[in-house]
Amino acid sequence: MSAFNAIGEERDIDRNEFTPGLEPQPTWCPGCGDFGVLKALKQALPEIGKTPDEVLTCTGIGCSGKLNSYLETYGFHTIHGRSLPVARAAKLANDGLTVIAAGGDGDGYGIGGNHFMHTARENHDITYIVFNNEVFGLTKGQTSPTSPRGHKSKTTPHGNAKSPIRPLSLALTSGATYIARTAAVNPNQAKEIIKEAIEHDGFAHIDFLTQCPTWNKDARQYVPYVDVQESDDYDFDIHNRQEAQEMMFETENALHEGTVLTGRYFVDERPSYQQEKKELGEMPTEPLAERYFDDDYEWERSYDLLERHK
Amino acid sequence: MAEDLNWAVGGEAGDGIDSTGKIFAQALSRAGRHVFTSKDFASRIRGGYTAYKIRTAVDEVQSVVDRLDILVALTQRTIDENLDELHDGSAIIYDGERSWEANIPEEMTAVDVPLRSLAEEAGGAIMRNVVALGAACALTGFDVEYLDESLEKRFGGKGSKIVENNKTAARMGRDYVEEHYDLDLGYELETTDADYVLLNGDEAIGMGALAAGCRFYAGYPITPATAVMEYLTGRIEEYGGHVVQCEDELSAINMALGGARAGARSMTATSGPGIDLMAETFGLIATSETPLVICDVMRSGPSTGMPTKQEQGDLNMTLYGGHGEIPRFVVAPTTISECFWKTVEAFNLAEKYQTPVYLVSDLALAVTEQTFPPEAFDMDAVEIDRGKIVDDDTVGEWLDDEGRFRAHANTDDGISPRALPGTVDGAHMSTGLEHDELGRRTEREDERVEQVDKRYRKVETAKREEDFSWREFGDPDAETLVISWGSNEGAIVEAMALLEEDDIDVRFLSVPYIFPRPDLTEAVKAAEDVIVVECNATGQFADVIEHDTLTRVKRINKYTGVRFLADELAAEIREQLTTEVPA
Ligand SMILES: Cc1ncc(C[n+]2csc(CCOP(=O)(O)OP(=O)(O)O)c2C)c(N)n1
Ligand code: SF4
Ligand SMILES: [Mg+2]
Repeated sequence: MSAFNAIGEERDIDRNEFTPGLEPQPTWCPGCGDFGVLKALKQALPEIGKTPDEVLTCTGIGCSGKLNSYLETYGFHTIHGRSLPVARAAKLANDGLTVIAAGGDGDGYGIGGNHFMHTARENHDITYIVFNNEVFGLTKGQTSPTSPRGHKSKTTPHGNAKSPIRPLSLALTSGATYIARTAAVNPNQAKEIIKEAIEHDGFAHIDFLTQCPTWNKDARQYVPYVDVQESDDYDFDIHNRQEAQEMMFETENALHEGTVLTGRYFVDERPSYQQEKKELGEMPTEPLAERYFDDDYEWERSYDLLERHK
Repeated sequence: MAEDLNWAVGGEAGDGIDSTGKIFAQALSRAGRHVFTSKDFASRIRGGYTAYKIRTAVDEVQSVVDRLDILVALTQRTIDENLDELHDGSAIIYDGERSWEANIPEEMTAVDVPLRSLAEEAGGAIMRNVVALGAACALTGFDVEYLDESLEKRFGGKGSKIVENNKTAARMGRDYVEEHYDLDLGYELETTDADYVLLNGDEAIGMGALAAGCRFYAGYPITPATAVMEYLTGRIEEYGGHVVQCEDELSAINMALGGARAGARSMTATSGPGIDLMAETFGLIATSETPLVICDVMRSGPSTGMPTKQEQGDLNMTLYGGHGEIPRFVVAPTTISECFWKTVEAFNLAEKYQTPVYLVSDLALAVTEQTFPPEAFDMDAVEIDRGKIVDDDTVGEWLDDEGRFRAHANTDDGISPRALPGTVDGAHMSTGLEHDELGRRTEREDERVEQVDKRYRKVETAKREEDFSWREFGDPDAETLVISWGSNEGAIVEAMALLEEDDIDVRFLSVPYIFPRPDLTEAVKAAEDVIVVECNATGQFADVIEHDTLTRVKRINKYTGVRFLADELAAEIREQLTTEVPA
């Protein structure tokens, strides 16, 4: 029997279980897109049979980083930009857990950008939700790596001279194997995408458009949105890297021209970090964290270590 | 002092100096002799001078001295670099057929051996260092057969032909010297039946980690800590663990943190530049009460400094580093075998008190190989204490009235229960923000104070329950008190033996605990002269002792990049006894 008795537990799950007794009411501003992510997660998790005790959510710093205060799971609030290494290591230590990392666009594409690139490259089996509101929300509206060119804020009073990062394209070149964009205003699509992302074996990246009515007044509420899978105007194969790349490029351009394109962009079957390491024999098949609970485990094998130094 | 032989092989980086030296060290160890090795490297890139030095005796040796008896010199620079250590009786083995003209001081014995030609005859020029080892055996009266097992270990993977060729090469070196030179340098290396293990400080840390149940390691390569990671890679899997090489140290420490949150005993190791990056996450580890071992194998700083040189410059960084006030443990092993035991202890401290532990070692420990009887690593004596981890039976005891897990419960000893993700009913929040018992962020004055006090109370509990004492040497009533930390212990112990010959008695306290640390007030007050010895320029530990004991101390500081030598240290202590304490 597993030492981690919540993992794989078969039982009926009540949706309200994911609303914590601690802080049932988020303190985000009225109309904040972050509510959309929370709602979608609360729906998605029970629908795929997850209980709060088998989910670990690691967040960064920002308005978005408060997500796990409002979601009943094992929550770990890291420091600015560092949710990904914490999340991916927890998954390596116990891959029975469902591990979700989340944070803002500044957190994930700016200060934590190197981790984003490498977590994607190594294809760690976790889900990463970036709350993309195109500003630094918590610190009161400064320009972020996704703020459009010309965006005015206290740190760019004459308009942002820099072009924004391309989150989807970056995920693709870096090596993510599930890439999607959704929006807070589209809760049903968001929920379905989250479910697919969690069930995907490998690094799943969701660029989640979350409007910030407080600091990003000139940004739209990300409406009207178009689902690229449902619209007849777009036709591409999400398993084809080239086609996905073109579609991403168009989507990233369109956002700043007033068209909000969303949907699934890329899915690949490349083995995840842990699958690959296990195949190479560089990682044991049972969870690393499990061994301590194995009463038959022979610690005295440590003596073998000395033999090699003779 | 032990009747010792000091031997070295030196040449250019890329000449195979390290593996040649190691073969000889292993052979001596197999022959039941004690060995203490050190390395010189000017630079890691090809073209730099490098040497592997061995001090060997039948009795225990635990430091280097300022004397070189036999030198295998593959370059003239090897001779030039060591002129200070060579003496009239030294013998230098070199290859007279090589392009350079050997310039060897007349008083020394020049032993010209055609290393390359003999190696070619034995099957390949690549074996010329092994020919030199054979020649060294002839000069030291050491049976060449002791090399055989080391050669098998080193070349076994390349097939029996290669092994046999190497054995032949060694014998040709020996025979050449015996035939062409009629020398009696007076060495007859005695052998014993003792069965030793030979390892360096990084390996001892890696071995300690495995024995302590470390199952997750995340790191980013850096001299001189890399060997910890390389030791674990390939071994930890056999024990059910995994090593990750990260994109940087920010990631390494956060990954180690993630592994620990999920329930694996986790660790990372780095050196100065990496410790700076890791400092970012240190406060989060403490505030979220996550057990983690962070190893700093110190090297010469600041900045990139002298990457392959010794220094104990990070005491303040590990003791005070990080913004805000962070409870921690700082443990600094004083010998290679202690690297093993302090690593085991670090894991227990981390989990019992759910607090980060800095394990502070240094380059001198990391690159030195030393012999120990296997009992020095008695695996049966390793105990694992995982602290207050709850399971499905006990989680209920820690739920509040509304069924919420009290992950930061304000207990008498300051230690709260720990529920690993995947435990039914244990779900909770944990954060680097100040929080209440349930992990909910707070800025309430009473809750803030309660949690700060609770976290520091763990350290108070540890002071009561653990034995944070010093290692005592010499005469407890001596008027001269020497205090040190980290790797200087061996050199000081040997310096004391030299001082004793001059009737200078010394009490020596070797302190492996930097925080919490033992109270040295009484010892300091009782002594006439107090001298604090450390490898840094400013006397960081001396400052701490002055602060603790409200007494001025004398200081011996070395920051040349080279560790203390026993004879040099004895002279410095003698010198200090004639000076006044600074006012
Ligand atoms: C190392 C560090 N630098 C700066 C900050 C201050 N800070 C907090 S959140 C934030 C940016 C938040 O923006 P984003 O990641 O987009 O999150 P949002 O609030 O928009 O959800 C900054 C700069 C910090 N907490 N830590
Ligand atoms: S500042 Fe913006 S992102 Fe933050 S809670 Fe308010 S609306 Fe949401
Ligand atoms: Mg943002």
